[in-house]
Amino acid sequence: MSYRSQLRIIADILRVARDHCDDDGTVKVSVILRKANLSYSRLSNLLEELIKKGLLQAEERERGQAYRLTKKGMDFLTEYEKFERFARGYGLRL
Amino acid sequence: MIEAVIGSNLIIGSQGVVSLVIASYAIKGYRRLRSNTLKLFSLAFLFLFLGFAIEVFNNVVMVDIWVTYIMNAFHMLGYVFLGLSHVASVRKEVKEEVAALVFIPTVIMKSLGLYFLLYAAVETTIASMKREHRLALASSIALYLIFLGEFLDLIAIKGVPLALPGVLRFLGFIILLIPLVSVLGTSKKVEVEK
Repeated sequence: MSYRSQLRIIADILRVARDHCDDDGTVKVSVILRKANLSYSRLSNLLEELIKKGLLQAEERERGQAYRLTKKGMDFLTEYEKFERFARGYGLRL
Repeated sequence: MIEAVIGSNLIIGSQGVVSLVIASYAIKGYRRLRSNTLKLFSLAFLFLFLGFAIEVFNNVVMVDIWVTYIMNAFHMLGYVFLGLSHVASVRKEVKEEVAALVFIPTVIMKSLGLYFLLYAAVETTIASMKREHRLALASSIALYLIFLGEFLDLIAIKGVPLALPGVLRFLGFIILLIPLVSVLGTSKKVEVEK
């Protein structure tokens, strides 16, 4: 498996929150774990950090917590994807 | 004679402008995302820009021979950081103490710079093939052209026109603009669609 930088892992989590959310706009931990291919302990730390930075928002659901991508998170992801295209144009990965 | 100097300065100056444009976009990306890869990539083009700026300045004012050492140092640091940006793109940590390279003799430094430039070109080719990315293929062709220009400049083969290294380098820098122009074009389209 190829190496993923911390930045790429964060972008992958935010992408899952954007592209694989339920009808109410939130995504469960199990979905993030599966789609972003992360261990539970690593994901817990990252989720905490992303909430602190205001990129994700935690919400209580009947079956545990779910996460919603915030406006700030969406803006960050848009910026990331723009510069990812730029880097890929020069054969680089962020 | 004056026309030749002006022409040569225009070619060198345009390479400097291309470097500055790429560096500013990479700096913008680094400031927004704090990406290590973009930091090294922006440093690479910033050093190349400084090298070209000093080259033009020296052509106009004719300062002294030591200025060419500084110019070469900036160019080679640029290529070293370009190689390192590819290292950072596939590995976890990159030590950036390579700035000390500026103090090593010019020929060794230039060879080392060329080694990193070729490494960046090969990595870009591999990346373009793995991910079937046409823009990266254009970048790799550009880097090979710049490498060839720098290499011919270093070894000075008899019979090779004096202007050839400069022309190859110039072509390389112009082709390097293609991915940036393409990204800027796509971003504008996305904004319009929004």
